[in-house]
Amino acid sequence: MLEPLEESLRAGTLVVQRCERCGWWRWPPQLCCPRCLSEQYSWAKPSGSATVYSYTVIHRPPAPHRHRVPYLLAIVRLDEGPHLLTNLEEIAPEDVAVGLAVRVQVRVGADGTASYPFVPAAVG
Amino acid sequence: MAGVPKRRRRAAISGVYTTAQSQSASSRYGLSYALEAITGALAEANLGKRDIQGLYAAIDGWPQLHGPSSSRYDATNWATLLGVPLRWLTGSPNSGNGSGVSALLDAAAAIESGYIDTAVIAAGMSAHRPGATAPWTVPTDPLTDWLGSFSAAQFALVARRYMHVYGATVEQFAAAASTIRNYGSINPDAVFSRSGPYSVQDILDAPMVADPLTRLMCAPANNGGAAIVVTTLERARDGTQAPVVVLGGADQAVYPAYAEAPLLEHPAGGPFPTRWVDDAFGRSEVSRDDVDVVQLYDSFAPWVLMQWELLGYCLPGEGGAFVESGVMAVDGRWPTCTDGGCSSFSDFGVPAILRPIEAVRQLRGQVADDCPGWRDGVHTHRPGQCRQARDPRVGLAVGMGPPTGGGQLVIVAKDR
Repeated sequence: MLEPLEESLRAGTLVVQRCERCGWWRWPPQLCCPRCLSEQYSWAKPSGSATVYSYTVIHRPPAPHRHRVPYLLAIVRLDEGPHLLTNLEEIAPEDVAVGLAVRVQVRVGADGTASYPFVPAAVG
Repeated sequence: MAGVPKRRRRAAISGVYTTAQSQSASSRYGLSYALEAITGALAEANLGKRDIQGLYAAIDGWPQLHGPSSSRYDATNWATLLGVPLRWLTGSPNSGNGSGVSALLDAAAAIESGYIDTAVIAAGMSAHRPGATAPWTVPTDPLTDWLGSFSAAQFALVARRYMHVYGATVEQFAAAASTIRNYGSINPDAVFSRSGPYSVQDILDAPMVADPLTRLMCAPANNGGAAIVVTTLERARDGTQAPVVVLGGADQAVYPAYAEAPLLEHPAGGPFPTRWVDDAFGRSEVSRDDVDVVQLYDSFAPWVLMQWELLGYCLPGEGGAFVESGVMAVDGRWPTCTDGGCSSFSDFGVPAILRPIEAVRQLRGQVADDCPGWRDGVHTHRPGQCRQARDPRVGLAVGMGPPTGGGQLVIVAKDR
């Protein structure tokens, strides 16, 4: 079910499910639309623009992420509506605020794994 | 034609038991803690294993069985293990961290309706790495592995949003944490017994985990187990302890715990529905003012403020001032988390069951603390020495695993 998303991310583009019946954008991916229960959806490309809904500066995470501290975990709200759990990059923790305009920047690691952090809208 | 018969039966808690709660490394399985607790709670209820008709237990696996280990409730596994047939198979297996309270509500409903007479609710977990972040709250989805999310981080996100929307402060979070941890400090059975006392500043000065949450605003993982026996009020009166009647309750699930972005507002817009809370008071036929002692789910300190608002004891955004007014203290209006809560008494992963157990002990007057006469039930009600509420008759307990939106609430009362 998630292959189109993974493929798109590896190609550098974040896509989000959009209900084909009612047009509702949704995240995280799921089988049906929580609004109209239709199982028909497409993978649509959002504008990539979002605002920060909330954020936290992580200082003491579980082992696999300890080398990254401090890092920024955030919830952003896409202009299309869905909220995404993500990381904020290319910004100092003290410069982050709720409501800050950000945009997605898909990254593909050397091992082919993709991530979709957000950066300040003014950057890149 | 005769009318529909009115509900006649009442369900009551007749036995409770908590194992030692510990952060030491343990070779015991969660199942072992659960079994010890079931046996202990049955003994207190003056019942035997043959009286068990329904059982729900949250454990971390079935070590003695072949095949994949599952933490899911499995009635046939339990029937085999206990050597008794089970006749109530639906006890809220999937309600996560709050499952102890949900199962208690389900069991009480099954008993009131005459479906069964006696049920046991149990839990037992053995944290893999005591003191570490609870492993069950770290998402393992390959799509989200890279995020570096974990339970404290999820609650930190909700806390930050709550501060932004309502102007709540870290000092208010710390006030809740210090009150609760100071109860735990004078509870000889708490994981963090004798660790305090903690001032608000001590809470704020602890190492930062996920801003704005310091380590002392978070409940760490430990080992332990607990059990509750629920039966008819008539049978409960034959137990070794005074029965505690299950008046009623309610629960609600709207949003997955820990899996994705935890929102303060409903993802489809507007606040999360709270009618379920009013339903709980309505079914119990008590008002908020009738409640004497409160056991909140204090997995993370900001959640305490939000629960007061959710429960309707103050308006949204007023939780911080409400907590700072001292209501949660032993000489306050609603002594709260009087055992030290998830953060100081115990969080073995599914600690919701411990909330109604502490409510029961408060109503029975069986609380160990630093009062010279506690063994005889004589208490001073002085903060820092005592954690027994003054003659409580009605207790409220909640299990609130997810960061927002859902929860479980049960109201219990003295029999006479």
